[in-house]
Amino acid sequence: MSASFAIRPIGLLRAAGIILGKDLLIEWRTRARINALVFFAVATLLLFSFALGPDVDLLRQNAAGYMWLGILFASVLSLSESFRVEAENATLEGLKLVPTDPRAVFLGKACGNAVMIFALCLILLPVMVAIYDVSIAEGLPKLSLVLAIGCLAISAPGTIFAAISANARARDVLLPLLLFPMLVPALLSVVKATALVLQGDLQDSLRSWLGLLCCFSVIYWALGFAVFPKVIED
Amino acid sequence: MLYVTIALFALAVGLFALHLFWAKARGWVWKAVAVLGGAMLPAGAYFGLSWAPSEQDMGEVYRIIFVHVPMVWAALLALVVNFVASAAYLFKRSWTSDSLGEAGAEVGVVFGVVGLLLGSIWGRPTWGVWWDWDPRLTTTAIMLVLYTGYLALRKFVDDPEKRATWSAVVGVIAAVDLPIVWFSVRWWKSIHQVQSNPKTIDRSMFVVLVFNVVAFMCALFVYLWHRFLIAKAARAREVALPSALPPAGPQEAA
Amino acid sequence: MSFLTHAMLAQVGQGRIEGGWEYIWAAYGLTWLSLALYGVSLWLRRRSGEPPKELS
Repeated sequence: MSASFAIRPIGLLRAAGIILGKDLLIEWRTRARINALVFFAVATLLLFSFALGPDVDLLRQNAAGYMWLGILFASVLSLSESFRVEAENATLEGLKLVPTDPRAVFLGKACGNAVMIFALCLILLPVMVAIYDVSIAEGLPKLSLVLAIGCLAISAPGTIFAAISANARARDVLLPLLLFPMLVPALLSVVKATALVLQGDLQDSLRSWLGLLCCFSVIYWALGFAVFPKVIED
Repeated sequence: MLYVTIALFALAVGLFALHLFWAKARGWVWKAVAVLGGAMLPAGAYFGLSWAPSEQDMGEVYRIIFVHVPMVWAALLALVVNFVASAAYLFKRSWTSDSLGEAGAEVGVVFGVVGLLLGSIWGRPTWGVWWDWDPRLTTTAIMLVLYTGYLALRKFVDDPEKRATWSAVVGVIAAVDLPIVWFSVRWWKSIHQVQSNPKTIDRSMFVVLVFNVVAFMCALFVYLWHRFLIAKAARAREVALPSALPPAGPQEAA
Repeated sequence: MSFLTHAMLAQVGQGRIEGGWEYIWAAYGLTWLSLALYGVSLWLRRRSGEPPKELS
């Protein structure tokens, strides 16, 4: 028996990195998903302003909420797509056969989803500046921190639920039905934090909302890490 | 009245414990609980509607508390059952904990919806509105949507084993989420207005409330047990189905 | 309650909600109706009274 035939399990983080790279490469080759997401989210933002009428003050005041609702709706599409591409050619079975920890699949997929949603956020920012007339120049580092943590908070539970609903009937209904009520604390805190960055933080409460958001993310990344092997096992 | 209520409470808890720990008694304990609950529910309604004194500020309307609070507590207890069953399933697969999870979620949603409607009926004359963004109310509503999602997931997955695993995962996630929702909504709300403290209630009202809670727990127990039996029978049929069919072809057996 | 609230409430009567029995009857009726309906639904869904087979 030569040593080269022995199956050598690769490390968790390395495997997760490889899966992340694979997902991003697939995405980069077509760029179909991000294009669709951007158009969907921009359309949502426009629809909010049409639904409310051209009241600039009102739109500016609620800009953070509209932006996150647009991101949330678009992220549902992104999340379900991330497991649909695996289900289409049964490649998830292949991933399960790889001699590594199935938690790596969670880490890779969740990071990939977070990157997608964060990219969407970055593209939406100038759109939001243009149509809602907010100014983001002074708080840009803070704002990107809030956006990044918000994307992490959506992606961990989103990845678990997308993996579950990808194989269920009526998955397009199921994913938002499971995910939206669950994300209420994340949505509350991320909208609050974004609004505080955009409009100025008079009572210094940004820190506590960010803390809540971080707690939410940490809890669900840990929970997803723990239960994901159960979700994709046969 | 106080001692009678305590005795009835002890009796009900004793019966639940008997059911839980002594498998042979399961045939008849639920009937005893049903009789107890069937007697206590009308009595509790009588105590709530006429025996308890009227309240200082809310007058008569507060009497809704005697059905609203037990209903919501029963719903919460059913969802705790769901959480325990879900967590237990993730540690050790068994159709018992899967069925118990299904029973807990469904009974919890039914009791929760009614409890929320009762709270709304109460809110109309006392707050002047049907709905208020009170943390308890909001969290209850989110809880109901979450567990409706859980039940929908169970409906939409046909493979019993996958359904059991996935719904257990969702059950655990939903239960972990609820404290965070409560906390965040309270925080979100506290920026707008200060929470009002519930007043300490009169002792006779408290006794009537506990009496009704015991009565509703009995009802909850009976419903949970029967929903559990239905779920378990359904699992038995699903799992037994292939052997009842003619022998499967080789491509199906693979 | 503060003194001020008491003084304000004194002007609008006892500060106490009068009547409202229709809400109480609605609440109790809803409770009983829903408990009965759910009981009936469980009864209809019972599986021919046979005990479930033992599963693992």
